[in-house]
Amino acid sequence: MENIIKKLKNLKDIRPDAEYSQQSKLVILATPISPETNQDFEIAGSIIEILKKLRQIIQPGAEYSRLSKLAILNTPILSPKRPIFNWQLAFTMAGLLLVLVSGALIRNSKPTAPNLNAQSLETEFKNLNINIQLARIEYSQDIDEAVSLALKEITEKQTDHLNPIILESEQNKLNSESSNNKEIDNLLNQILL
Amino acid sequence: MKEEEGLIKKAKNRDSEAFGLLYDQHLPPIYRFILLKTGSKVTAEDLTHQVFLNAWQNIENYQSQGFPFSSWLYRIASNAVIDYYRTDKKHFNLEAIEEPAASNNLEEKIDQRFEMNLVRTAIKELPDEQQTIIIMKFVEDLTNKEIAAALGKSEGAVKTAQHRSIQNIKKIINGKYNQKIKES
Repeated sequence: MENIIKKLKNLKDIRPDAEYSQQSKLVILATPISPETNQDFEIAGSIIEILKKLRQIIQPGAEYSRLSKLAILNTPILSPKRPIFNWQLAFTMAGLLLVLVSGALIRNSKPTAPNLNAQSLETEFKNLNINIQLARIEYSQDIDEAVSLALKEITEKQTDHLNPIILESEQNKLNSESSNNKEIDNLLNQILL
Repeated sequence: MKEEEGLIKKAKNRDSEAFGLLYDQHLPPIYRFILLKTGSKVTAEDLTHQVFLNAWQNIENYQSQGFPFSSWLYRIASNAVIDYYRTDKKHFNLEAIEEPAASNNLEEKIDQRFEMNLVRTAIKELPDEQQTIIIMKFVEDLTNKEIAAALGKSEGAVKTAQHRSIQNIKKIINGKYNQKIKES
């Protein structure tokens, strides 16, 4: 195994003949380079330079420039009569038109259901209003009567039933009566159970 | 920029001198743009005149909104070129473009002319929008914001189109160059 490795390492010493190397080098360097490849590179590289040169080379003639300028500046200016267009006014008019058209459409449209007839709805609405007003008058009258009765009781001093002592004694009496009445309790229990 | 704003304001009030200054400032790039798109000197002169006449007659409609005046002019120019091609089938006449050679050396002159023609014909083979982007970006040095405003696109879309345009023009030029070499 070691011998094989040594032999392989010895291969490293193989070198070309010195004379061959010299001659081969000279032949290679003396060979003309393919003209197409080299010139391709040159022309492609100089495109931008050529383009920049065009700027200096191409110029309008001085006489042409002078005459053209004179002709342009002496040409009467055309003043095209443009219609004055106001966007704000246009939008306002469009809005107005839309309102008018929609109003006309609503007015001319037939009811989709007889129940929605405008006249019947209007009369129904009026009646409803009257009923509400009558109910309010009735309520106001009841209140007035109650207030006048209360005021009468106060002025004639018939307010014994509002005396707290009398009210308390009445309550105690009621409680004692209800707690002793077992028959009522039994009946209530029967109903509940 | 502020100076230009002042000129635009005056031009809007029908100050012809102010518009004349704007004309002098913007004529060369607009003329170049149209010439490179149409390939005809006569057509470029005709269309450029139309563009500036249109601008003078409608300058009250121009609203800055943070974009330069040139973007507005390029937009008018683009529409003029589109209309020009729409009306009739036109031919790109490369020979009609004559330019003074930058060098005195004959060999250099020939090389320059060859390269220029190669690039111009390559531009013409690009899709319309890529042509516009190449001219605006690399010939006129416009910013992406200005190009985006002129084309009505986002800056991101302009960047993407720019990358694609330069890749396409390289491909076209290399193809044409190799073809010429093989022919010669």
